[in-house]
Amino acid sequence: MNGLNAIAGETSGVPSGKLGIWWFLASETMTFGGLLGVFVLTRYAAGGWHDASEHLHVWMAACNTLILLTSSFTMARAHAAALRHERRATLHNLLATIGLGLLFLGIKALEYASELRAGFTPHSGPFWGFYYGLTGLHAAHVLGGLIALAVLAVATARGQSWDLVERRVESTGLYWHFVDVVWIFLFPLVYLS
Amino acid sequence: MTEAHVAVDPHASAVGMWRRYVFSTDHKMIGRQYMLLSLLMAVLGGATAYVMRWQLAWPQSSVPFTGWLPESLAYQGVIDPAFYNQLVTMHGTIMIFFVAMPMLLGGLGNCLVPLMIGAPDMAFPRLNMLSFWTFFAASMLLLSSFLVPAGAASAGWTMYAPLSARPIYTGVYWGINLWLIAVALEFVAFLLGGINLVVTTINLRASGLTFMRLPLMVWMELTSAVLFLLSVGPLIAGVLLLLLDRLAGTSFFVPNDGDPLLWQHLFWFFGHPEVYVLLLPGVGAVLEILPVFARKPVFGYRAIVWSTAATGVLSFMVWAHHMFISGIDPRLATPFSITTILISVPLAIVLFAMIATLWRGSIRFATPMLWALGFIATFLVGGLTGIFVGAAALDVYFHGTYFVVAHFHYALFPSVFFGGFAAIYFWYPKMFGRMLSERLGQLHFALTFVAFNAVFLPMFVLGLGGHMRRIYDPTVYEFLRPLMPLHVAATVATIVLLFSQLPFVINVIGSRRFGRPAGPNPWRAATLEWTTPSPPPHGNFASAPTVYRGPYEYSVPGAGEDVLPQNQPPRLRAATPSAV
Amino acid sequence: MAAPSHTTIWTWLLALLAAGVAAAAAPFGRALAIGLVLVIALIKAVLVVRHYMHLKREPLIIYAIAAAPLLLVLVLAMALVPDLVWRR
Repeated sequence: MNGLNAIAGETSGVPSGKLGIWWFLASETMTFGGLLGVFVLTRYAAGGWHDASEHLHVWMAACNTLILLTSSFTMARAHAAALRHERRATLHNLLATIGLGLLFLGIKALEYASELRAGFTPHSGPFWGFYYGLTGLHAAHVLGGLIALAVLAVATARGQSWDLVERRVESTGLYWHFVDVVWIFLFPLVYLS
Repeated sequence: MTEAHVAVDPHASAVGMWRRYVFSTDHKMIGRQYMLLSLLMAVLGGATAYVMRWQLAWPQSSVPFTGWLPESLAYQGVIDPAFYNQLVTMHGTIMIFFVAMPMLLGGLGNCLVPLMIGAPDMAFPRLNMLSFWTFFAASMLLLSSFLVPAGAASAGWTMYAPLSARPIYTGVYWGINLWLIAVALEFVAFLLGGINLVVTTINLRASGLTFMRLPLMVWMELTSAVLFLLSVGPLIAGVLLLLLDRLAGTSFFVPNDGDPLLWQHLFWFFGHPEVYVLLLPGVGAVLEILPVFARKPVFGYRAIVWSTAATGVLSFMVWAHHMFISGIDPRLATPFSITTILISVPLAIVLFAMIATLWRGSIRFATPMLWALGFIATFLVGGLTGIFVGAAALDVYFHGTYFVVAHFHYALFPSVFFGGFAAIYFWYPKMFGRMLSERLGQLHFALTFVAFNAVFLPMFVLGLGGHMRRIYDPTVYEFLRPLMPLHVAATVATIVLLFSQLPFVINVIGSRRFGRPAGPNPWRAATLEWTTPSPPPHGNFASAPTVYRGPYEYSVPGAGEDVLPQNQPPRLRAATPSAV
Repeated sequence: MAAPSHTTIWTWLLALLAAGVAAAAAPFGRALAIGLVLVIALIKAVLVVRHYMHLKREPLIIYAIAAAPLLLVLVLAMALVPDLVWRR
């Protein structure tokens, strides 16, 4: 048996867990791609909505971008440490990733609070509907990722076999990098345009 | 002489009842769970059809057996118009998302794919179990929508905006919200299930089982799963936006800030590939059955594989044919008409291949074969009439009429029910170790075939007469009154169709106990699932099989037997050379 | 030459982020600024996908799984232009 959940078998040469995650990411790309595509076209057609978007906290979002990029960095290092069978390094990098993710959500919450207090709710206008929808969906995915990372960190700390840990760190990492890539496009399209 | 017997699984007694029947990770048990739930939901789907059809044939009359409904829905048995809209909506929703998907992908896909590729289970057994229970939760959520104030969703299974975007337009608040969440949850369940199907097929194939030796059922399940995975995303986004419109006051789909057409685009971008998701497994079942009961290989295996792939690719480029008269840019009508007509070509190739498979075969009219033949006959009508509505110029007249209703029932019913029943009658002996009654099966088929055609053939005439769909009382319109006898005919046939399912229910339940023991290969078929005991034990194969040939080596000249199973090693050639 | 280290990639990502924010704030024309910012985003995404997600080293099937949705999103977006953009 290859993993906790997976049946052994690798006729394609790609481990099943990795193949599965990539298919999942393909579907998520359709979801976020569709939503972003609609946003871009509608925003372009409406003239840019700059009167609305200038109320955004670009610097907070830029900070968040920095945080998320760094969390991808720590996630990649976690995988590298797992491949080297260094349990402490893996764990520390996983925890760093989680910490950065929590920071991201915290700053996002502050953003939302500030905007809501200023009276900008989802129905304040078409821009705001998209803003809350897009960033909300993304934040939900960040949260999901954090839960998966927490489960993984616990398993790593508890001494789970390297065979399993390597694969799970890689799969969770792929998901986490994807969430980062979505934000890499979200940030300029929402905040900088 | 070894007698066929019902196999006993040595693993079974080691696992408690909950782990074995409820929280099983065995793909066969999960497949059965999907099947059972889908058939139960089908009863509900049929019930909605019954009430609708009674109202259409005898408007404002009291519908029998509805006395238990609350007065707001049916005052003294007369269906309330708002409730009628709910029935229309839930009929489509239940049949497509909660009958067809679980039966074909959850049920058949789970039961058959690992067995046909020589694998012990699906790639992710625990994810499989999670998928089923997510689907179960979605079903319960949907059913609960009948019980909330103002009742179930009523904007059509297509949930078009702006009708669906503001609760005040339908008067339904929680019903549509629950519908949206239930459907989103169903999408998640089949997303996870789809990933399982795809990864299993790619990675868990037995040694020697190349892609071009796969049984066509596996190809169809794979393609269906891929189509679903790639098409559902934009609609998930759309569902989120519609929920925001309903709950947060946004205007994604409501003028002037929003565009109702945007919902239609997002819906049908998924909706069209979805109909192929629903079609292909049925086609796969038929393609498995035809060679067995004609004792002939499938004609044009490669052509079928490539045609299926082409259909899949094209299915992403035809969706606006559902929107020809919705107000889209008229210049979109031409390209989408062209792609729609084009997509009929690969499907036609598959149908021709089916007929060619039968040609000069040694046909045996066992029940699975009857259903397979019935599929070919009826799906032909569905496919051909699709060309009528696929041409934008004609669709201007046909859109929104009963012609479309007849077309898609002639496409979907054969796929889901003829194909589904064919599969059930064919693989029931494998899954339960007992044969179904041929007598009851033939009766089921004959009644269903006649009744089905009697229900939907008149609807083409209704559509040609200009009869709009989804309306509550046709007699309100002067020009529809002459068509009412057709409604009566369709309703009588519907009642017959519903009762025609009784032989099936009796057969499936009764044969569990009284059916003749099947043995491993009652049909003398060639694919891998027939090399296991019936029913297969946990883990399926005593040892991993090796595959030496394609899946349909029937009546091979010079073979000495009329079937060469996939896992049978080739006989060593004799020393003397002979013309091969 | 060995693949660039994770740290190198991270440094590039941060530099591109800075460049992107600067480009948006700079007094270019709007269209040019947006174009620049999007190109930078694309480069950042490619860096993450190629080096952190190892797409560079993966077999063709993974590329296909990653590429298919991008093409399909393009198809969807193109078909939406007449209704979402030209109609307005």
